Amino acid sequence: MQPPGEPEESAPRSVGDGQDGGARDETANESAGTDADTAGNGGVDAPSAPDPGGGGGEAPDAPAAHEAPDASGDGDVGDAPRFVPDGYGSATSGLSPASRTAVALGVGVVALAVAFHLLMVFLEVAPSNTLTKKESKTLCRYINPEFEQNWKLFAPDPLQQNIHVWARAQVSQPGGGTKTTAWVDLTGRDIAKIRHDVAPSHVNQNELRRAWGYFTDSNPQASTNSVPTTMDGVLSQEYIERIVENRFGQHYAGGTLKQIQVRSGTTNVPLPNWTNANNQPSTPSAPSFTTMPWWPVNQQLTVPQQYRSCS
Amino acid sequence: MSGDTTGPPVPGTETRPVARPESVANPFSGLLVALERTLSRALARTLTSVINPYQSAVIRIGYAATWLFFLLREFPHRDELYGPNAPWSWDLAHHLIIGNDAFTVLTWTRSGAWFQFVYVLAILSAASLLVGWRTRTSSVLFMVTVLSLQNRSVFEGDGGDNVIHLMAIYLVLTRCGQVWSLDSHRRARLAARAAAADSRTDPGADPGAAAGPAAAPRDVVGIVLWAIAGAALVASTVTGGLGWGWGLILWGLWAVHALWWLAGRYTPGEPRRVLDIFGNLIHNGALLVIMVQVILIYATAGWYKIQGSRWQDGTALYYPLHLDDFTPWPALSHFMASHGLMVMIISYGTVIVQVAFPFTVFNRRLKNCLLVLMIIEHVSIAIVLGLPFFSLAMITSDAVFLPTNFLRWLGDRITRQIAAWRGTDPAGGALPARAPAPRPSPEAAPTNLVG
Repeated sequence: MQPPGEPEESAPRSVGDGQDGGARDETANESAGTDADTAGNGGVDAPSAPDPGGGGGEAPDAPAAHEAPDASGDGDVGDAPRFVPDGYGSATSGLSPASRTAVALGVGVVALAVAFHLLMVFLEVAPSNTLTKKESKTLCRYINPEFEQNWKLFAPDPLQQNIHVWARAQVSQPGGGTKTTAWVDLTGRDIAKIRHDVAPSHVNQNELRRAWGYFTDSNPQASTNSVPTTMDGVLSQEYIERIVENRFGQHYAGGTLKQIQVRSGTTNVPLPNWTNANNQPSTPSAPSFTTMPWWPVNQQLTVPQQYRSCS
Repeated sequence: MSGDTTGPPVPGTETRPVARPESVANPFSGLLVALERTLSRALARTLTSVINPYQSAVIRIGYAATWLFFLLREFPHRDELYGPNAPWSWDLAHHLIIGNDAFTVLTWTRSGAWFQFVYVLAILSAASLLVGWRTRTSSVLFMVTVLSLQNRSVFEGDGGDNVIHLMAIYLVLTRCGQVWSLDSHRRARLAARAAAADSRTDPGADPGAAAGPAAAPRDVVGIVLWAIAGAALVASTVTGGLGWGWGLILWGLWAVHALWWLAGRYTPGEPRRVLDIFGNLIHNGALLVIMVQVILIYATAGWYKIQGSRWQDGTALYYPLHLDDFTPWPALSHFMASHGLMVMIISYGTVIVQVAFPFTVFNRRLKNCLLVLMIIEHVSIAIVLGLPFFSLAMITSDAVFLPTNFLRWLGDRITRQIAAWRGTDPAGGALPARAPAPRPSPEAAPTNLVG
């Protein structure tokens, strides 16, 4: 389930199942606190500010009178002149009542928007909890697709196996008859291209890896010849097919591509050599293969039912 | 603090058996006043100034550069990643996007030419955001192209793409071109010219928060850009490409640009000032969102790692160093992985730093120490795990917390270096960074939100 590598941006959201709820809540409170400092108070101050009909210019900035360059920014020294802003009143002084109302409203709206956005983002990264279960639909609709969060970088545990995607093809030969080609380690080819590249391409580093993650997540029963029934199942299988076709080409091994077959070869990363007693480097196990059924190429794409996320 | 009105206990009055500590100052006295003052000042600063202008500029430059380098690096692979005939084909993307309403202009048509145009536009917008040319327009184009390409092929992305995706949206709302941008140069130049030309008008009312309105010559480029954007919006609206949600957002941004220009040109007084207040307000809100977002990234990464048994036993780092996809330099990776103690120290250090970071943000020294560690770690990740774009995006995210005086010093050094290479005098007027002419007083002070 946990895909290898860095945070994923997978369409099916994975919900963390942690027991760290308490501690993470503290983080949120911290953030919410900062939030309130800068923006949140707008909601409080705002109503008093506009004072539409009232007399001119008596800005509610009495506190500003008590202004001294008290080192409120503990330790934040270094630059020469310290800018001490006046109170809210001075920021809006001289503005017409209408403008001051607009500013006050703006403060309120921005404060609420910031608070709401941050709350949603926090809930999204938090483990499933009372609030996220209750408001799961709202949360999902707000976060997806543009504010997705996937920061489980090698967490809770890094992937401990190498998964290679292999493929072979059945090609129809010019003279008639078909031929089955040998298995090709497509991931191995990608890795060869990643080697000694300071900036590996997404094509080699992410494409097959993430496509396979998407496929296995969406088609848990794929190897038992079941036809995918969900939209993600269909799309991900088509995606794998197209990647293989793209890598092989329509004309492959002296024939025309008719069917393809893929398999995954999983190798466990050997345990660290310092964990076994005699300090011998352990050798990688032989890959264990899961083989998919043959898939005919160039089939019409039929998507079962149009699903909407978050419904 | 000053609530102590009763004097010391008089010796003869200790008749009461248990002396109630009535003379202890009420710690809450004055609290409300202090709170109100603090809030009022914070709010005033939020309305009147662009908080952290240098940090905003750094992240603008950083994210734009990350995306630009990525686009250039993938230029040979652009068709396989995002083109109409990519393995993740136009049809597949179309089906997925009908379901999740992700924004992308690339599903509007299957045309290959359209895709090539968008890709080139993405490069250009990243470059112009990087140098801060027409920052407001560039930032919108940057967001549109980032979302278009990434949402077109979600399964090609990784964590770095995710960071760029979010920040591209947030950057639209920040005034990230106040310093270290071609825009700020132009403003400084215009302001200087205006000041030199005549001193009868008083530009002091708002010295160049944006293009000095009254004195500004006709801004042909701006008007042309705005007109092109309008035409593009009309076209995409009539053809039905733009949904109502994104249509509202983009048309809204377009209208705000017009409002800004009109206010600057015809009503430089109060309307202009109110718009400036709104600009600051939105910038500061968005900056807060960016900071909390970065904190949440680290918090999530850290808190989830704590639960992992491999992170607990100190061997976690060993495994990525043996994952084929993340070992461009196998000899180096395996060498590092073979040292158990080092693996443990780095594994523990990573978790400690990530978990601690959210809480150290409020302590300047601790925060800066952790920032150094995190930047070093991300540089290492870039090389060892072969994730340069992810790392650059994360280093940029770290930079939003760097102290202002450091950034200004760094900017000054770079400016002088460039000047030396070009053989020009760094004091010459046309050079960047030396002339953060707009709003000198607020920016001279350290305006870090979090120290």
